Amino acid sequence: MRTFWYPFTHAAAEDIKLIDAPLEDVLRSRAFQPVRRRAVERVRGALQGEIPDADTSDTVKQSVELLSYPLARLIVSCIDDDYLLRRYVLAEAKLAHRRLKSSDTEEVLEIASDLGMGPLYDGENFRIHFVDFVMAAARFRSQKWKLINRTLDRGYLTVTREELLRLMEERIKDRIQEGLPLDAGSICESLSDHLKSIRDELESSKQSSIVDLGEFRRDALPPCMRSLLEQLASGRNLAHTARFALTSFLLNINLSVEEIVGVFNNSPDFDEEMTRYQIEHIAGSTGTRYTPPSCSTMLTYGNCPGGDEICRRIRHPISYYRRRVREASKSSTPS
Amino acid sequence: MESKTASYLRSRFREYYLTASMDAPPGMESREWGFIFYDAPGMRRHRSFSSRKELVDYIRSTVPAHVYHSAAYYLKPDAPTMKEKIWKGADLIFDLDADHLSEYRVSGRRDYGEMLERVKRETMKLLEFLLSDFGFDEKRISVVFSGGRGYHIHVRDPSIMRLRSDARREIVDYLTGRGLDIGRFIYEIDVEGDAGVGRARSLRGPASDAPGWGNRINRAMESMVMHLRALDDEEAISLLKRVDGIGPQKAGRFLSRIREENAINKIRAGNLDFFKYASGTWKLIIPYLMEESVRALSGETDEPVTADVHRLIRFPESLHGGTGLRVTQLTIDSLRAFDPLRDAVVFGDDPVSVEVIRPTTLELMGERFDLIDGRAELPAYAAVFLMARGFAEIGR
Repeated sequence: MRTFWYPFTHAAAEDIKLIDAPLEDVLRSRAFQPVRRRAVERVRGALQGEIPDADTSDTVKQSVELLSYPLARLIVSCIDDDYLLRRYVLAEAKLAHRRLKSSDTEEVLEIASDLGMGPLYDGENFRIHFVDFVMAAARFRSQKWKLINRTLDRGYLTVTREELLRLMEERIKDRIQEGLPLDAGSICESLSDHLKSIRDELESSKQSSIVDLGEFRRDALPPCMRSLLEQLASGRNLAHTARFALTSFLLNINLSVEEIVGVFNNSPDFDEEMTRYQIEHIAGSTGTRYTPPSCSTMLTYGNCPGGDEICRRIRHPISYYRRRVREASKSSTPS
Repeated sequence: MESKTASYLRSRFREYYLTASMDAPPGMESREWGFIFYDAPGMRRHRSFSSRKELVDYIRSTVPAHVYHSAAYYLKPDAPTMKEKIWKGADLIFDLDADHLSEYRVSGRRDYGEMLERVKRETMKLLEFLLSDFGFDEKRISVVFSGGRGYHIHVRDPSIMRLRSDARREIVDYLTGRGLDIGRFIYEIDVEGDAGVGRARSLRGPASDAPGWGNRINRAMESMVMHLRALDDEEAISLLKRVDGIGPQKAGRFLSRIREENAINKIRAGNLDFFKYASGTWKLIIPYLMEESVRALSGETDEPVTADVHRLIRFPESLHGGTGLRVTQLTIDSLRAFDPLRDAVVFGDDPVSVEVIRPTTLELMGERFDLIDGRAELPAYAAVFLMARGFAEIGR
């Protein structure tokens, strides 16, 4: 196993112990500057959406790659921000997933077993225990990930290579998440220069993720939709009912599918193709065009954060929006 | 319940607890315990015991009406909040209760014995899923009569201990058939046309030797066809016409297809082409049938109980304070022959005089009691049952 590619594994932790790299040196010594640079790159990459690939063509570079992972975890812990933490965990897992795609079966199996999974390779697909399947698949929404739609025999079921890698990505997320934020204590002081620049970037990343909704009037949005957008902007995952409510609402006030895909691309488990498919479905690709849920339905599913003055006079989020838009245009037109 | 009745029941329960074996569940020291008493409101919970002896001493000295333990294992089982307890894992629990069976949910009065028999059949069906589909080892499964209206299944397999709620819910969905995508089981494939020329579509389904739901769907199709074949034409056609979009003509053509000699063999092999040839409308039947068969074949289980990883469940071998029956530990083998209205009875037949306050009929230990308001002398087991259920008070 190339542990430098998979630094979250137990095997990698063992390798790290073997490298002569006292923390003090990693933090300060000139010799370890590449490690610090790559660690910062990992965290920055996470903020920008993707951790770039690294050159690991010789053993020194491989050690740099390996050591940069624990250091990146320290940096994230020092900043200790939920938004950053989620982005970081997700980006590391995505990086691992990219690498798994180019790994051979033997390496995939080694990593799976390090993660506590025991898939069996049958020459084409993999047999896995249902527990390894549901632990991750219960978080996914599409029908093919439901256990009932699998052939379950004596506790085992078959997944394709691609599916196995997706399941592993979830396990990797859990592994990376474990223990974060670390108790970094005084270590953070030595990292202060790096932390400053990342903090700035974090702020601007949060700012820019506040969605640009173009034409329509943000201030005319009802409190429920505003709150859902804010949750998305802070990188939180929305419940299914909330996604549906927001999507059908935005479609109804004439945002395009593309614009709405843009709204969701901040979601931690953003999958552009799936998102577009779902939005198109709600938009009526199958013949039914959905209307957004009423205020009482929003309330039932816990998607109403509590209304304001206007909410008392309307029963539907759309009415709220229309009323506000109408009022605004009246007051801006000279009488 | 009058206080003299409560203290009578307590003294009978104490009698039982002084000799009951009360094997502690595995990991008892990591579990939370809860107790309800006849003469105190609410539940005393967040208790923990470090040994079986400590637990048994507590039960013998306080004599609770109901005893529960958590399905979960905690680092600090006696901490007052779930957060502080620190969850380590939990058994996988299924609660099969007559209240959850759709046919009992609406009807009012019902026969207790028959109802328990019905839940027992559901329990066996669920056990079949757990053994064959999920491949759990029989040794890791314990079946318990709840002492009330049903059965509990405890799965104690290390593989499932750490599963979170969402994953447990997936297991329940599997058992109840929720979210089943019929297209995964019934689908068309391309086949070579006759003499290798051109291509044709062939309708396939799961074969009879398919594992899991495939096998169940196959059996459902076979039994539907068998059922239709056993009817005369008129009855069969009127049944088929209930499916939306099927008229007398289509029904007739379908019927003549399934009356063909090899129809059953074809179904067993998963070859459904004879469903298809009489135009695509036959496919109308399949989703309809699937829906019906999923409903009939799915184990019924209470999802909130299985998905709740902090749930308390009755301690096997304790008494159910609402019936006086023993929460009885069974094995998969002993379940079949188990008769709760005899085998879960722990009290003797010494005569006890009671005041019946609600007329009722009761069958226990093979005896039938028709009771009207007023004084009655009953064997202890029947007297305890009626008082615990609130149908009688202790007599003078």
